Amino acid sequence: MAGKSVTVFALVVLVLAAMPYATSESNLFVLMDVLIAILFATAYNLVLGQTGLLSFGHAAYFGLGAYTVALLQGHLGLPMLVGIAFGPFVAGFFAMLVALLTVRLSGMYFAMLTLAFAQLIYTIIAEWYSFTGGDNGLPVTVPDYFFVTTHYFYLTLGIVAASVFLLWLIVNSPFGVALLAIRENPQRASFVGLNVKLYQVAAFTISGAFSGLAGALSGSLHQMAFPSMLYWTESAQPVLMALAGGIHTFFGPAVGAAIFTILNFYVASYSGYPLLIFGIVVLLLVMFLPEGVVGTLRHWVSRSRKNGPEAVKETAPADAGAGRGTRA
Amino acid sequence: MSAPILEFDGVSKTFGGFRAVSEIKISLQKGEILAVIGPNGAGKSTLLNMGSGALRPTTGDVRHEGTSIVGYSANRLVHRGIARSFQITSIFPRMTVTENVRIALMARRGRCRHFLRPAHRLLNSEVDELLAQVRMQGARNRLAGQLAAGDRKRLEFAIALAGTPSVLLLDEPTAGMSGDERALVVDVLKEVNHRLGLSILFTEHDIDMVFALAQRIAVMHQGALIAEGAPESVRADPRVREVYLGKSHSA
Repeated sequence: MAGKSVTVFALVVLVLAAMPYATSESNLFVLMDVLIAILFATAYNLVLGQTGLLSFGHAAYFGLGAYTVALLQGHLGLPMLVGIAFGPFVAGFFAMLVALLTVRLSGMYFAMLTLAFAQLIYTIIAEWYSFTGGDNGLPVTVPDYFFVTTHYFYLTLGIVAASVFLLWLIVNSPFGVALLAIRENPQRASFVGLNVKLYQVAAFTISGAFSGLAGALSGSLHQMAFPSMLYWTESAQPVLMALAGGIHTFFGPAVGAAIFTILNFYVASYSGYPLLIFGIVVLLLVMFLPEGVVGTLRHWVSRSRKNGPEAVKETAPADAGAGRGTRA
Repeated sequence: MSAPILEFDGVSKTFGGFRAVSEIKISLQKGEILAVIGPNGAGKSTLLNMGSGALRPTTGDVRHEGTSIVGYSANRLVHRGIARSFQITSIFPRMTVTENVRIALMARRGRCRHFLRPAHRLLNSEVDELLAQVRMQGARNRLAGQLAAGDRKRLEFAIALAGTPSVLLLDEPTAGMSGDERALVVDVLKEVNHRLGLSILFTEHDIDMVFALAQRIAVMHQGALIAEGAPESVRADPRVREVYLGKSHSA
């Protein structure tokens, strides 16, 4: 099982690595947005699917990553790559602060408070003209070498692939299983000896850090950090991507991110309402595929493979899981 | 005599104006099986909650091997060796039986801070040992949430026994079980008590179970302790017969 995931993952990375030879430059740009969204959604799901916490403020950590690159460059003259390296630390630090103040709350209160803190960070960045440039945004200068699309594409692919692999290792580690146990039953988790709040803070911090890394890549790709990257409507994106792909699967949010970003690109080219279209798509997915695209596929595969009394056993968690996951 | 392994010293708990537990003084000796019985609402679960870190007593002291543990969190007490089961069975429903026991073992050993090595190969032989102890080897790969009530309860024992605690606090360990399962639970508990020297404090409604297992019995009524002693003397106590045993065992 684990070996097979690694093989598929490696194959996908290889296919993506061949893309500069197979497709146009404009498609490469879309693909880079897809890769960044994949990292963002996968990082986000460490909190939602794995730990069972519904965060509604992850745009803040994404945006902080982008601003780290722009601010380090604008104020200290540090190169883009240094900014990208610092992005996850800055975003992770703020995520940790927010988590320390919010994890004692549960469910809706937690979601609302993460939203409130994200809006606070957004407001500071949008209003502090002398430091952040306010709503004009802050430019990122890309060094000549990475100005070549293919070069930046490989940088993005390398960082995203390594990060997703790292997240995969984390999810399957004892720490990841502890997060799962906390999602399943926080009471029992603390009575087997886990410090539930500490683990929740750790998960939130790691998730925020990788979201920041995605944001740093995004800011560098678009050569700009904008306050709107942190706005609360942006926080809906990883939630929708994760839900569309399946929050109880590791690769579901990545698939959701790809669907979301590609759909967004083509719909935005033909109509002015990409979010409306995607809202309808997610609505249909949640109604008819409550476990998401990947979650549903997995159940089909295991059902057709076993095709016997085992099949019944395999479908039950799908039913049980329909309304779950977001329990905090 | 050495300090009792768990000691409630004049412990009270009030919720708003309601006094759920009042001035309880009782101790669990090392290696002992103590039953706390009493009608519904007598304060048995509240007492257990105060012994396991789930609730903080309003007044009084709780000591583990002579050290006050008031204000300790539940997870900290687990690492001191105090494990428990719940009246409403508390397990990880969407994880397999094996994974349920493994996470308990990993947590107890402090191994959950490892971020990058795979968990699924860890501690398998110890997981099997624990499952064998509660006779559940056959259900290894089943999802915990799909087990029958009695099996879930046994899985919860395996979780509680992970990492060999020194004190087991069990809240109605056989609630909802069949007669056969009850007998099995009695056997398992006697065995861990005898073989590992585990001290056990349990609450129970089933009187046969209480007399089959307990070496000493404490009787609670409306938050207070009304009798305590060897099973025979408690059975003979007229006040106990009046408030509790009398109702079901007068015939």
